[in-house]
Amino acid sequence: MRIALEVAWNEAVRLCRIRTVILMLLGLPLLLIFLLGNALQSDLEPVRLSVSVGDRGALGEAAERYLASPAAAGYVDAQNRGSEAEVREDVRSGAADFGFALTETGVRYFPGSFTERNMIAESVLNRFTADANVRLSSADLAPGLSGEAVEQSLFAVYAKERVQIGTLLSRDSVGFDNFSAVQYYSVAYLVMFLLYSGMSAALSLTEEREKGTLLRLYSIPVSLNVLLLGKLMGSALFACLQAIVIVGFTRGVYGVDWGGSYGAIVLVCALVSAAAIGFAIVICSFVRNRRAIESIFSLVIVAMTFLSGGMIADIGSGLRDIGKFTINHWANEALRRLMAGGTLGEGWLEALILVAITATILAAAAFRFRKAVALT
Amino acid sequence: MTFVQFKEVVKKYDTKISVNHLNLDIAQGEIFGLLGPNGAGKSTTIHLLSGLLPMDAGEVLLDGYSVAKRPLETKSRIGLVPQELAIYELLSARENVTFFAKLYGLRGNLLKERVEEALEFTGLRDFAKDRPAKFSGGMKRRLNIACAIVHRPKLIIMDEPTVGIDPQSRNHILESVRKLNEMGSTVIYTSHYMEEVEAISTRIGIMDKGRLVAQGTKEELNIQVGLEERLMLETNRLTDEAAAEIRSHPRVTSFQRREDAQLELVLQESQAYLQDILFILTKHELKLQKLTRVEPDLESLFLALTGRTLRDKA
Repeated sequence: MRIALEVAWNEAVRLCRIRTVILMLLGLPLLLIFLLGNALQSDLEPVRLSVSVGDRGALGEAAERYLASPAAAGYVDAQNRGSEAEVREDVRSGAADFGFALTETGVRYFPGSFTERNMIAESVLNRFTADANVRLSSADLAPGLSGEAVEQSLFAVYAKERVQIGTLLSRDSVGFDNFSAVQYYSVAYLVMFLLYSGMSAALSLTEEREKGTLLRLYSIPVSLNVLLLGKLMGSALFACLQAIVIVGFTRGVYGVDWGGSYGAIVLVCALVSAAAIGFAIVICSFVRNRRAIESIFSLVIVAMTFLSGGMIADIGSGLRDIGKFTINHWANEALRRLMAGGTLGEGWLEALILVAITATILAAAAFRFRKAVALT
Repeated sequence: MTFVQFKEVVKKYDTKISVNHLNLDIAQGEIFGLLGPNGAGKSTTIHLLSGLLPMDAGEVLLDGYSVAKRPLETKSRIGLVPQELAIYELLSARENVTFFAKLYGLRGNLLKERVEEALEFTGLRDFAKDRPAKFSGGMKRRLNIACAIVHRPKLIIMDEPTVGIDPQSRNHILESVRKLNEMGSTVIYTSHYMEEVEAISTRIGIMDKGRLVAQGTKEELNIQVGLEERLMLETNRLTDEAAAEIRSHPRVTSFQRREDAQLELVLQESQAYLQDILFILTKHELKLQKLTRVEPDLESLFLALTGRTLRDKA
C-alpha cells in the first residue's frame, strides 16, 4: 500500500505541476460557473405597468384588487392613470414597460420595447382577462354575485397554474428546478470536470508508455496491480482536489449553498471519479494515441453534460429523457438533492442508479485492464 | 559462476520470431556486450530478462531464480536503464531518483544516502534541484542511469544508453559502466555502436534476426570466424612481378591490391614472416613508405558472421 501511495503522490504532484491541467481542470470550471451563473442570474424587477380602469363597475374593482394582490404585485408595479391616452403615452415615452386599459368595451394591451417584460406583463394580465371573461359570463347567469366573490373564487382556481417567473437566486424558477443558476451550474460543472479527471488518467498512462517510464515502473519489484492502483489513485487524488476547490470556491466566493451533507457529496464525487477512471481504462485498452483519447473524452463528456442539462437548463423533455442514460444526470440529481437539504437515502433510486452505472463501467475496466496497461 | 542463464528462449510477436531459441550464459562480474543491428532482438532479450515480457518458450534464470516464476526476486536484483529516457520531466533530478529509490523500498537515511550517491556517481549532484527539461541529452541519459542504480542492483542492464549524446557524455557513461562493474555489478550492455561494446565488454554476444550467432571474448570470436590481423603496405611504386611474388608467399592467405602502390594482406605469423615480404620489396627495388597493422574489428566480425553490416536493419 505504501508503494501505491508513493505512485499516487507522484502522479498527483506531476499533474499539479502542469499549468494547462491546473487551468483546465481547476480554473475553467470556476470560470464557467461564474460566467453562466451570473449571465443567467438576473433579478427581475417588477414590470412597470401603466393602468387605466375605465369600467368603474365590479370588473374594474376586481382588476384593481387583482393588480394590488401580492401574487401580481410581485411581478408588476401598477401605476393608475386617468385615461387610455395617458397609458399609451407612458409606454411610448418609456415611463412604463407595459400598458393596460380596461374600458367598458373591453381590454387593451400596450406592449413596450422589451419582449421579456411584455411576456411577464401579458402572462400576469392574461390570467385576469381570462377570469374577466368567465366573470362576465357568470354575471349574466347570476347577476347577484359580487365582483369580489367572483375574483376570489377564480383567483383560487388559477393560482396554482400561474406561470412562475422569478429571480434565479430565490430558488423558485422553473428552468433551474428551484435552484439558483450558480448552484445549478456548480453541480453540473463539478460533475463534468470530475469526469475530465479520467481523461488526465488516460493521458498520463499513455504518456508514461510513450516515454518509457511505464517500462521502468514495470521493471521494479512491485506487483503490476499495486503500481496501477497507485497511478489511478493519483488521478483520484487530483479529482478530490478538484472537488474541494470547486465546492470550496463556489461556497466561499459565489455563496453557493451545498447543503450540509459533505460526506454524501464526497461519496457522489468518488463514484463519478471512479466511473471516469474506469472509462479511462476502457478507452486506453482500445486507443493508444493522445489526440484520439482527448477527442473521445471531450466528445463523450460534453455530450453527456449537454444531455443532462449542464449547458442549457431547459433542453426539452425529449433530450432530457435521453440524458437519463448519462452518469451526469444521476450525479446531478443526487448532488442537487443534497443541496436542497435532502439525503442520499431519500433519493435512494438516483443513488442506486449512480452506483450501478459506476459498477458497470468498473466491471468493463476490470475486463479490459490488462490490455489497457500493456507496454505495447 | 553463472549469474544469468537463457535456456532455449523463444519470443514471438504474432508470427514474427523476435528471439529464436536463445541460449546464453553470463557470469557474475562480467560486462557482457550484446551487439546487433536495430531489430536484431536485443531489446526483446533484455525485456525478457527484466520480466517485462512473457516468453513463449524456454526459461530465463537470474541468480538462480526463474524470471517467470519469481519475478519479484529477480526484479529486485536488476537495475534497468531503458533505451528511452524513462524519467519524469516535471520532477527535479533528485525527485526522480528519490521516487524510484522509494519504489525499491529504500527509506530514511539510507534513502538519502543512496540518492546522493547516485547523483554524485552520475555527476548530477550540482543539478539535483533542476528539472530534466533544462538538461542536455547527455545529462538526461545520466539521470536515466542514476534512477536505475540507486538501489545498488547486482545486475545492471543498459539498453543503448548512449544514443544521441555528445562524445563527452558518452565517455562519462562508459567510464561509469566500468566503475559499476568494479564495484561488483554484472553489466549487460546493448548497443549497435561496435566501438563502445568493444571498448568495455569482457565478453560479447552477437545477435542477428533473433538468434545469438556468436559469443565469447573478442579474440575467441575472431578465431571462431577465422578473422586475422591484416597488414596494409604502402610503397613508392609496385610492380606486377613484386605483387605476384608476395601473393605467392606460402603464409599469405589473403591478398588485395588496393591502388597502384597499396597492398592489403593477411599474413600468418606475421611477426616471423614480415621480413620475407620486406625482402621481396627490396629485391624489386621498391621502397616501403608505410606499414599499418589492422586488427579485426567487430564490424568485420559482424560482417563475416551475418554477411551484413551493423548499420543495416535486421
